[in-house]
Amino acid sequence: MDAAELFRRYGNRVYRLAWSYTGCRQDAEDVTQTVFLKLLEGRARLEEGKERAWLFQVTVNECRSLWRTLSRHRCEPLEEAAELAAPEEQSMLSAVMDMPARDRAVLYLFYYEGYSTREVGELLGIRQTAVTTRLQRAREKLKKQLEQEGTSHETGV
Amino acid sequence: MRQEYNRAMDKVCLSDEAWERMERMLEGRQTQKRGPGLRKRWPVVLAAAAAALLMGGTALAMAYQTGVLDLFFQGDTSELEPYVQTELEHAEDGNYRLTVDSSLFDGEVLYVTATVEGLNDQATEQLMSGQVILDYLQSKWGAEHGKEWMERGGWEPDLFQVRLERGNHVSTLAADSLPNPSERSRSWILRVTLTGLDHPQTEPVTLRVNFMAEGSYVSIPVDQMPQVIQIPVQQELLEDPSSGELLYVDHLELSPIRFTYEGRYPDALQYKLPVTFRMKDGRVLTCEELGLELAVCDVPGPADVRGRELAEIVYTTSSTIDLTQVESVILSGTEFPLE
Repeated sequence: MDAAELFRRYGNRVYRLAWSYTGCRQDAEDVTQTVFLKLLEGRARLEEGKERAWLFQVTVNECRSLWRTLSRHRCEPLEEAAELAAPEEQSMLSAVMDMPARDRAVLYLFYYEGYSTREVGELLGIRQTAVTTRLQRAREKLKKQLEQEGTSHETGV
Repeated sequence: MRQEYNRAMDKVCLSDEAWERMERMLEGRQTQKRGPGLRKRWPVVLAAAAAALLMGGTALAMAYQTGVLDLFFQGDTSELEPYVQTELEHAEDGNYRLTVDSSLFDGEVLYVTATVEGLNDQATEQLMSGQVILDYLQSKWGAEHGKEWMERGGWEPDLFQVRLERGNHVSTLAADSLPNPSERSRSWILRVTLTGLDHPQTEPVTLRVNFMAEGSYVSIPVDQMPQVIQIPVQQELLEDPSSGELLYVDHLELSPIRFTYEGRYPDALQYKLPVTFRMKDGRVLTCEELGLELAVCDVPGPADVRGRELAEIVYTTSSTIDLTQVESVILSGTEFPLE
C-alpha cells in the first residue's frame, strides 16, 4: 500500500490522534501532514500489519516535538467538529477537550483504536499502570461532566 | 460511554481543504528535502567533540576516560567531575558485554556513554556490521522498514531501554552513535530525562540494549549529583495576562546544568511560564542567554481535585551555570531569590 492509499485509510485516524494530543485543529493538521510526508520520503513499504503502529508512533513523536516550538497560543479545537456533531456529541467532545492531553491520547488509543493498555503504554512511552490510571480518571471525569450537563449516556465499555 | 465517545470522535476529521491538499501532495509524490530526518538534536559541542575524537587515538582515549563531560558539555566542568561515575558494572549475555563507560546524573537528567563489545567472533561480526541491530529493528518494524530505518539513521533511541524499578517515569531518551572505540566494540551517548523521581532517589536506573538477552542490564546509581538549589514557590502565578489563568508552581530547581519548575497545570503540554534570571552584576538574562534549552515534559502523577496534572518543565544546558553569580529566578514576573 503506497503513501496515498495509507493516507486514505489512516489519514483521519492520524488526525484524530494528533487532535487528541495537541487539542488544536491547526496543529493536528500540521502533524498529520508531517507524518505522511515522512512516510512518503521512505522508499520501502511498511510491512502489512505494522502500518498503523508506525503511523501512530510517529504521530505521538511529532506531537511531542511540536509543543516545544510553539509559542503560547489559543486554539479553537471544536469549531470544525462542532458544526457536524449532534448536541450530545458536542458535549462529549467538549468534555474530552477539558482533559489533559495525555489523558485524551490514552482515551483515543484505547477506546477508538482498540489498543490494549500495554500497547497504549508502548506508543506513549508510559507504563501500563499509568495508562490504566489515566483511563480510569478520564472515564470518571467524563461521566461526572456529562452527568452535570444532564446528558444521558450508556454505562460500561 | 465508549460508543458515545467513538461517535463523537467520528466527527473529528480533516477539513475538506486539508484532505484534498494532502491527498494531492501524496499522489503527486511531492517530497521535501530534509536532513538526517528523525535524528534528535544535540548541542553543537557534541558534533565538535565527535569530530575531535576522529582526529586521533589519544583524543579518543581521553574523551572516553572523561566521557560524558567532554561529550555533553563545554567550558569549565570541574565542579561536575566528582559526580561522574566510571567504575560501573557491566552485563554479559554470552555474546555481548554492555559497559557503562561514564555517567552523570543531575537530579533529573542522566547522561551516559555506553559500549557494547562482541565476546566471540560471530557476535563481533554481527555487531560491527550492524546486522544484530538491523535484526532487532526489523523484528520491531518489519523487514523493509527496519532496513530503511537503519539506512536513514535516527534508530539509536530504539536500541536502548532505561527503567526504574518502580513508580517513576522515564520521560525522554535520546541517543546517538560515537566512533567505534575498537574493532570489536561500538559506543553510544545517551541523555535520559527522568521525572517524578523521589528525592533522594535511592533506586538505581537500569540500562539495557534491546538486542541483548533479557535480564542483561547495567544498574546505574543516581544518588549522587551536583549541587541543586531548590526554591519553594507554592503559589499561583499568572500564566497569561490576557487570559488571567493562574498556574500553581510548587518549587524551582537550579543546578549548574539544569533548571526545572514543578507545579500543577491543566495541561502541561500547552503551558509554560516566562522565565528570566537576575545575575549579581545586574543583568537579567533569558533562558537562551544563559544557555538553557527546553528539554521536557510532564509527570503522570494523579490530578488534583481541580483536575490539574502534576508537571515538570525541564531546561538543560551544555555550558555550566555559575550558581554563585545568579541572584534570583524571575518566573512569570515574580522574583525568587536563590538565597
